[in-house]
Amino acid sequence: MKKWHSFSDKRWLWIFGVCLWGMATILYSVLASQPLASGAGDNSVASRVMGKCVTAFAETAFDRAELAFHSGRPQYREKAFSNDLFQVWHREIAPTGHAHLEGGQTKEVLAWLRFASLLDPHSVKYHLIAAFWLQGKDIGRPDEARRVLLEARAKNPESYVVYMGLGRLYAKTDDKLLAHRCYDRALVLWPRGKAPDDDQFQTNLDKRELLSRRAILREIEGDTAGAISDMKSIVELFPASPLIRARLLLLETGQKPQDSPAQRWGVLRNPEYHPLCEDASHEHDEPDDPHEHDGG
Amino acid sequence: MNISVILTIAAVVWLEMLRRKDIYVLLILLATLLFALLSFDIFNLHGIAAYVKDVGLSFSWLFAWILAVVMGARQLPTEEKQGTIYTLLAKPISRAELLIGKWLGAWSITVAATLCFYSLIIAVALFRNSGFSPPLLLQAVLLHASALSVVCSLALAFSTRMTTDAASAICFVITGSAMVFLPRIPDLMRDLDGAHSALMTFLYCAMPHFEVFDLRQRLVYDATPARWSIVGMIIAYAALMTGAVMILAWLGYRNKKFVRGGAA
Repeated sequence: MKKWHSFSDKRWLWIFGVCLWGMATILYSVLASQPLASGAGDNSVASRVMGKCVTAFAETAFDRAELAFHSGRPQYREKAFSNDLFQVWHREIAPTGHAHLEGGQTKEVLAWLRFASLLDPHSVKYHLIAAFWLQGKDIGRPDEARRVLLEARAKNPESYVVYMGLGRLYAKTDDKLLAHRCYDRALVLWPRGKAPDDDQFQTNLDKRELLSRRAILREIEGDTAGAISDMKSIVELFPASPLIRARLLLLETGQKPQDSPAQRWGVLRNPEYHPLCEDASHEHDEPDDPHEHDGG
Repeated sequence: MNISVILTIAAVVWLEMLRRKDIYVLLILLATLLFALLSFDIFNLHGIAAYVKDVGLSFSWLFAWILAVVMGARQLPTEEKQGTIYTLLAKPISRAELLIGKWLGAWSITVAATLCFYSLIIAVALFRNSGFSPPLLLQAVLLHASALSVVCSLALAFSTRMTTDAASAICFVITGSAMVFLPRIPDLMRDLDGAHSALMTFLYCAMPHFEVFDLRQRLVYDATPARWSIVGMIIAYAALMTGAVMILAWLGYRNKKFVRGGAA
């Protein structure tokens, strides 16, 4: 005991205790892999506070993933002034401009996404984005992408977004049967389990993606009636879709469209977009044809 | 100003610190944290190192900051509480020499601890087949050491007129908000005007800017060193800031009357 007194005052015991508590929290979330964020069931004040904290930590980890993807360059924010000496120095010291990790380096973002998904397993966006990077050609691990999406499904069985992600994965690996099943399931669940920050427009865009992909699969399978029904649903959602309308007209009149369903499928199943970047150069214009947009 | 006196006082600070074992505790904590990070399964992928470096460097900043504040804030009040200040000042030592000696001891041991933290992070990064660009690492260490000199001097300055706990608390608040809040003032000021804007401008100019010492992101994601002229200017800024704070500390301490069993 004497040694403890000479070693330090009580302040250190507090710091030590807080650090141990932090580590215990992280270890718990990793080992038990149980939902720590605001989950169903336990509504005690402690669990709600804990849930909020863990959600905030998860969001912080997601922000770090964004930062890592941009090679340590923070998002641009408008400032009242930007030419004082300290900001000039800071711009010289910190990485600035717009840059991305490329090739195999992109796996660096996955560490942060892993932390975020473990901390808040009910926020499906972390799983979805992790799966996107894992199945991409730079990392090329569809097996791990499938694992993370199945993990998300186990925690969020009612989320259409997870099935949409699984559908994208199976589409990418050209597993039409499983992709079709996932789209069916996602459309049954839609709009349950959408991401909390997604608005109605985004949710409708998701539905359009699901419908257009299923329509193409139905065309490939020879189920023209099913494809027509899906396309009609798209036109109901987004009346200004001239290309869909044109294709719909051709199918309804029994004519063959210029591009075959297989060609369409080839385009759809390899979308290119950056889920961690909002830079204007990567954004798509609002398409009048879902085929021109991400997977839709 | 007698340099040997200053160095002797700094050496005594080192001896006391080594006896207290604070640095070992922080080193063990950092090692545990890095080990926990290394043991994470990141989708069965290998060669991911940036997050280990990023978290490791962030914690080295955190631990060095805590150490600098605690070390700086407890030097003078402890001497007063134990009554050893009378013995010290009975010798041919001026109060300025005492202050500088204490600052040098606290700062140098904090920098030594920081070097240990960096060594640990480098070892872990090498274990993950990653590393740091040596010139950039040198710049990062120099700038980190410069930031710590400002923190140590602030803690010491507050402790000239306060107890250890009060000086630490105030120093944690001021330096903590300078690190977190100050870089955001230009963003926040977009929506402010009048008195609020003037107050923000005053805070922005008066408080130390620790963000200019922070090379973490460059160290993790960019291998190119910053311009040495800029690094030199930032080090000069830290030296000026430290000097100004030490002068304030001396002004507060030069005529201070001690009471037996006083501040602690």
